[in-house]
Amino acid sequence: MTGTTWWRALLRDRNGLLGLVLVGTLVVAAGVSWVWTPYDPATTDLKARWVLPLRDGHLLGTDMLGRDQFSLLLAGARETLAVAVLATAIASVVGVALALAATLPTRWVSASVAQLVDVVIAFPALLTAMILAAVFGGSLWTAATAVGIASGVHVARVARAEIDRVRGTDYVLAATAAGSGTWRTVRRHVLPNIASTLIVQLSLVMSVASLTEAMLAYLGYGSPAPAVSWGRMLYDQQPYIEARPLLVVWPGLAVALSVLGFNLLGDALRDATDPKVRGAKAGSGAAVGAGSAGRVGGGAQAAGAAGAAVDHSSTGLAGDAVLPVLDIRGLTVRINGRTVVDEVDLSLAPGERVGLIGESGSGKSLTALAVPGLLPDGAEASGSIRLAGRELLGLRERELARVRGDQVAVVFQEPSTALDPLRRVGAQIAEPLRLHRGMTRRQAAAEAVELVRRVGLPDPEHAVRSWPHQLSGGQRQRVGIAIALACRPAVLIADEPTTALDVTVQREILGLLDELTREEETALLFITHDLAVVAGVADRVAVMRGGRLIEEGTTEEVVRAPREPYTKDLLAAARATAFDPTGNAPEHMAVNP
Amino acid sequence: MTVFVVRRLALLVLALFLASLLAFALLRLLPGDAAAARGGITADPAQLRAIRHELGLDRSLAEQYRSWLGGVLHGDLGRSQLNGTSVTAELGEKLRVTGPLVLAALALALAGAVPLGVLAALRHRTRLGTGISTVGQLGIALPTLWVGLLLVTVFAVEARLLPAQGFPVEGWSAPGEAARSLVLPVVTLALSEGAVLLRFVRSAALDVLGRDFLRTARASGRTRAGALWRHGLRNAAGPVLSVLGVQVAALLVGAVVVEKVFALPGVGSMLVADVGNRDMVKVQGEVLVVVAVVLAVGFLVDVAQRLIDPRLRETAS
Repeated sequence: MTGTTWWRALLRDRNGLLGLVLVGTLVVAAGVSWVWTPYDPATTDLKARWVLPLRDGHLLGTDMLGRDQFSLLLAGARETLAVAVLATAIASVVGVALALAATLPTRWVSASVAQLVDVVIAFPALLTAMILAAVFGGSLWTAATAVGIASGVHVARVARAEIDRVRGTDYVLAATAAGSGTWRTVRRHVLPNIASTLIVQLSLVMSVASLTEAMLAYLGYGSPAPAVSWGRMLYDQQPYIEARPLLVVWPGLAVALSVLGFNLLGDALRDATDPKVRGAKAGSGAAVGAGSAGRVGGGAQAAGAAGAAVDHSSTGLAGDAVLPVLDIRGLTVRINGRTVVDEVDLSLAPGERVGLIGESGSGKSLTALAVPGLLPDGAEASGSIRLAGRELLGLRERELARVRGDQVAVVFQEPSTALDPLRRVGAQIAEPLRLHRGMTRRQAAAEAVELVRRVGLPDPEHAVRSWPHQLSGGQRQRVGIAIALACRPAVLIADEPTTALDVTVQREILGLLDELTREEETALLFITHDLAVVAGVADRVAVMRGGRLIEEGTTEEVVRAPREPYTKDLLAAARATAFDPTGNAPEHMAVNP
Repeated sequence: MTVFVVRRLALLVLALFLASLLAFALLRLLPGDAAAARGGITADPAQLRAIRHELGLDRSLAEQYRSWLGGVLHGDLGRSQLNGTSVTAELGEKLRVTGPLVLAALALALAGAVPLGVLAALRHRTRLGTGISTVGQLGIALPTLWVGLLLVTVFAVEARLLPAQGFPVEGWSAPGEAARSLVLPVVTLALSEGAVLLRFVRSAALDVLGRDFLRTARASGRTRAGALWRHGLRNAAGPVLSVLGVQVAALLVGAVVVEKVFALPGVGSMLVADVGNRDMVKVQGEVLVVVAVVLAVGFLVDVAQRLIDPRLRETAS
């Protein structure tokens, strides 16, 4: 909400601009009708009934009483706008007052206000407006009051949730701790932060008010005669719909365009005032781009090295006789036209374990995710990816799905979000078995228990029946491994599987991955930014930077004698962490001979 | 879970009680003398007193409320102040029109909005996706009553396929005719409601599509659409259900308008007529029923949310 940036963002948004134009038209029509209309909208002229459009100076023709339809439309804008503005004013006062009352420290007050809000919300605005109109006579006040109060309680609910959120934030807590009084905190810290949510809510109130005004006038509870309303016009024309269908079209269109205008403007305002959305629109793809500011901080000295090609003849496959199970050639990934993975060659022999290492944004994860076809939306891959000789690039989603989980599986980085929160753990482990092995529910469930036991979760029978949120991060990652290994895939991709875990848990998970893939002779592509992690697991290491593969070799070669300055930086960073990848690491971390 | 249901049920009862108080208070605002309206201009003061006594208008407000509430608790919403007919009986009869109208419209709206919303989310970068959401955006803006009038013009006036207005006098004893006269009203209501739902289904599905667990499901061998179907819909159901709870009120309001447009003898038409006649006992009963339906649906939505989401189950009980 700083300065005028949101205003500019609004103008850049095509929908926002359209909304602005529509609402602007409504305002102008209301203003113009105040001083001028082609004919007096209230005057009936029985000599000029049913004049067709564009005749005798009647742009849209006249109705059964000879009233000029265009003049009526212009004048109707006044009623719509007046009700919208009044209702919004009432809603904002009611909403903010109730929301603040509901967050008062006195418990019984806030509880009863919240309860009252929940009940009043159930009273539809139209009903209240009808009753008010029956009592006081229909007017824009009865319509605006009813819509204002009904929308106000809605606003109160949203605002209260926002206030609760903002009050929990550090800066408000800090302000309170610094001795800022309640009211001062609200005025200085809370209100400015919920303003953007309120603006959006209030623009929605405008569209609800416009619609309700039309409905009320149609039902006969709007403002009485000299006032003109689009809803009333619809009511008047309905009996003649057979003869003059067009006369019903104009007022309805006027209501629809006004409501559309308020809605579009509201949506655009939400996007424009939300820095998250605004940032995403301005620089899409930046987050996954090949960033130059890495964790290792060796940006300057490695500038020339980044482009250096890797000589594959010297560092290629360990045994040339063995056909690679996974063979990536010239893989290039583009996101929105930007190259984020550039001509990468990488292959894995059956049962071989390769560490793919690089800083965030180096393209290592994208390289790996391109294999099972799990690239994010908008990313395009070209080149060649062969799995056991079969080309994967260019396969359709349906065909790729048959490969995923069966021949190639993935363990993801975030165990907290990688599992479906609404399904039991066992069912998620059983899923690949049912999809690829054609197992019945019962068979798959039994197999899931066995898998849970293999990944070392305590009490497997009970564990399969638990929900993801009942497990710890390490336990969830064990479940993730169980899902990935369920069908004994030929290739396992582990995408930073330990990054989100505590150090001790990291070791356990690494050990488990190491042990299981060794037993099954599964080829492992292990992605990480931490050379220390990969050194214990991988036979070979490939280093990526800026979307390119810059160094590749056996783990020992790379760890003992790195060629690239960038790799040296990675190594230095790894040595600075707790364990030493070259020797004194825990047993399962030791470099393979 | 049981603890939650019981506690939530207690809240519902409290809310219904508050709603009855509000409905009663709102209707006490109505000016005019029901006794005079009923007695007509020929009634002398003694007759008026008698009518007033008969209607209970000479008692205190608290007493009037107590006796009304007592009746409500036994399913008796009182009698019309104008002609003495039972409000409960009349509501029951009108519900035979409004009930099918609202339920069929809701079913049709969901049947359209869920697949289209999911499709719009799956193809959100393509022309099809933006096209669907644009149509939805337009649908939200179109006033229900206007849609009704346009449908009448096209299908009843021009093509003469369906009746433009009214409901058979015999009601559902003429099932074919009754159903035919509900087609256009149901479609009208479903279009307005479906457009709103479409929008929320799309945003809920888009949100779910970006989640990690969907990628896990795909990595296990699901296609993008398959993963959304098996894992996404259940996760998207929560937000959509919340919207449904709120939209029930909009649906009922829409029914009032649609019944007026199509001259259907339903609860909405009854309500409009009774407000016009200032028959406060009837209006009070009708408002209470409408609000009670909205509150009850809110309760059901809350329970359903917890049945879907194990995390909510644990926090509440």
